[in-house]
Amino acid sequence: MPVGELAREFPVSRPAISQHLRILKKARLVVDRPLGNRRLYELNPDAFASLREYFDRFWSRALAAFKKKVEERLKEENRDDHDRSHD
Amino acid sequence: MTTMTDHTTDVPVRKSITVKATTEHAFRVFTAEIDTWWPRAHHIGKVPMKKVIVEGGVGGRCYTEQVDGTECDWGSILVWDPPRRFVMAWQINGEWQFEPDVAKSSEVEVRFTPEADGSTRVDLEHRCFDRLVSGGEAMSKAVDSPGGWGDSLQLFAARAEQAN
Repeated sequence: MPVGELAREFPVSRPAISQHLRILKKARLVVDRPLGNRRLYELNPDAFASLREYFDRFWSRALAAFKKKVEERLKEENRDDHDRSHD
Repeated sequence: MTTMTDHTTDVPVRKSITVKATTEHAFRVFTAEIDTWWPRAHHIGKVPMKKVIVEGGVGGRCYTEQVDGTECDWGSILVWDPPRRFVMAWQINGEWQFEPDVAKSSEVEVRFTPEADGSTRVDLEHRCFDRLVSGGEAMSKAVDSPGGWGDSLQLFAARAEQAN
């Protein structure tokens, strides 16, 4: 997408958009390529892939810990009930 | 390679797990008792955390209490429908700082569905990563700087593994 087109979609100036794009490009969140005398900007899917990958790993680990705790607690409660029934 | 209008960044992270417990029990442990299982390294405070808290009800705060007595917000409840479902705004930006604006935050939805055998299927969806991009100048800087986001990911992964 060219800068001019992007600028129309945001309530900020075109130079401000260009500045944002430079930062995004430096961070490799966007990549650009020339087309005639313009530059086209595109999202770099790799950056978002790593964000998703991080949360993918995080939630796998967190949900496994959650499952362990839920089922542990249930066992404890059953044991308590069992103990009480023998009181 | 995709264009700015593509929805690559909208692709949610989806996870499912089945637990041997009622939906009521699973919902309670996930929310009110989150401190019993939450990976200890996962907070955005400057000092270690003491406790993680999810307050029930729409607008409920999700925060951690740190060892120095300070509190650190990291989310808020958007939908509260116990024991079946809740949605929270995940208010952490790319610099691992609290994001006050929910419109610039990603979202986590968790659904609890009873199975025929009495267990509960838990479906988690972490979505709206694209909102981090529209508010993402800080994030992009964080990614690129030494000790920034890229490094944080490694650090968080390593610390989380130690904590487990």
